[in-house]
Amino acid sequence: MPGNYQGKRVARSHKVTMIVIAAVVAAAAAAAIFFLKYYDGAEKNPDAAHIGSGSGAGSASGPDVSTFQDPPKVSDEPKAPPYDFSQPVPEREPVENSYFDDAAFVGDSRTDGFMLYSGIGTGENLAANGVSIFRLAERKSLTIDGEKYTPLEALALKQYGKIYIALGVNELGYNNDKGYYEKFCAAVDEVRRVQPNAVIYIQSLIPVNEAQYLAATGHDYLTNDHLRIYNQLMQQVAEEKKVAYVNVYEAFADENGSLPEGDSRDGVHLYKESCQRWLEYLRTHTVEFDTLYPDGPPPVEVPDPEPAGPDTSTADGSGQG
Amino acid sequence: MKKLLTIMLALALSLGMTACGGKDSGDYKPADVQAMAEAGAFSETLEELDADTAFSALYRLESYGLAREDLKDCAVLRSAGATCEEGTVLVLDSEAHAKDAQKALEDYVQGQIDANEDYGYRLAEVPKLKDAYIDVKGCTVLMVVANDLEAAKKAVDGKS
Repeated sequence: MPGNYQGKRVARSHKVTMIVIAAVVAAAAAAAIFFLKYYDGAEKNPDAAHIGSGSGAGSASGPDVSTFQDPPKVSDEPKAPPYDFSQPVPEREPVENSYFDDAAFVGDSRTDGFMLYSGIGTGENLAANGVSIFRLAERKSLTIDGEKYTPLEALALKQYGKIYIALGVNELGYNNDKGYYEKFCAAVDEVRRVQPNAVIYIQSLIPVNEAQYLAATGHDYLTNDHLRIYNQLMQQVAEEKKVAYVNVYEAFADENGSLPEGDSRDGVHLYKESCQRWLEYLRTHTVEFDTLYPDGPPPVEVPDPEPAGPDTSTADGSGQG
Repeated sequence: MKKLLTIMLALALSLGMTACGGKDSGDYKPADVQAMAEAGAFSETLEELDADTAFSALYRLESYGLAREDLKDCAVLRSAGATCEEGTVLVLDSEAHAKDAQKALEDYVQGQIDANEDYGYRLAEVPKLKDAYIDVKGCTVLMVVANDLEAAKKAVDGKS
């Protein structure tokens, strides 16, 4: 019997051992599953694990990454690069003439011709024959409802969506490039002050035909070399003041950088068909205010009241455009 | 009495029609502008402008109490800018409106004289502006700024 009893004890002992081993194996398996689950989640989303550890979220059975707070949403669309004011407005699909319904055109007789002959049929004509950047704020050359205004005063009478500035031909005889630049900067400041929500376009100067001009007037101080310097200066103004630069020059210059004879009789003022080409260029070179200033209107700078004046030492003072 | 009033009204209307563009009224005609150009009144080939542009952008007739529909017809030839030469005939709907348009054209020419003299701009053209011929016949207005004013007048007289 004892032998039997001992045999039963041995058998019971083996049974217990087996249960213990099974329990250890089960515990080890559970620990392994727990470890693997945690380790896997931490590897896949280290940030989530980090956030989870910091926030204290999760169940008692281990961290659950599905309950973690998402990181701040970042737009899938790439942010547009800032507008490059050092470059001319690029070509794009043409706008309708109605685009110019809320536009004002400040310029000289060339602009006056543009408003009459291009077929634009809309927009405010604030051009004055013979006007120059040096006298833009001085001469009351515009009559509106019986009152006399300077172009800049007239510009302040109501709000516009676009301002087109085309000035420089009447200044070509002046030997004062620095003064031209400074006066132009001051004019842009003033335009922005009275029209803070408008797209300001500086138009480059359309070339002249020197031979035609000489034949028509007897004067030879109107040169495309100087005109191109003014265009460079205006492009610098556009970059400094963060306004749009429209390179109309490229639509007219021939291989010598001159205005072709067929565009003008006197080498300066454009024929009707040429004015229509000018309009076509403006229609295909536009830019939105939001594109220029995605963060809102640029700050208004108080214009310098007295930048350098003109030096007319090399000109006879008579105007051309 | 009623019959008499009707006859008088018809007569007045008839006279009014004659005064504003009847075939033999002697008023200026849009074709006169081309006649002036062909007669050599201008020193260059001028550009043609449409009535809408002439009414608003060029002569600003709305500032003189005129509505676009008051301008019945017109012909405008104008320099692209090399000179101040210009030939215009405006046909209005009444003599009163023709007088308003005449005032607008006089101010337009004076404005050009002032601007050119102020800026020393195209001074050689100022005498042409000062010699500008502006005249009203019935409901029509003629304006000429010419290189050869006599040739212009002769061309118009020959047609009217």
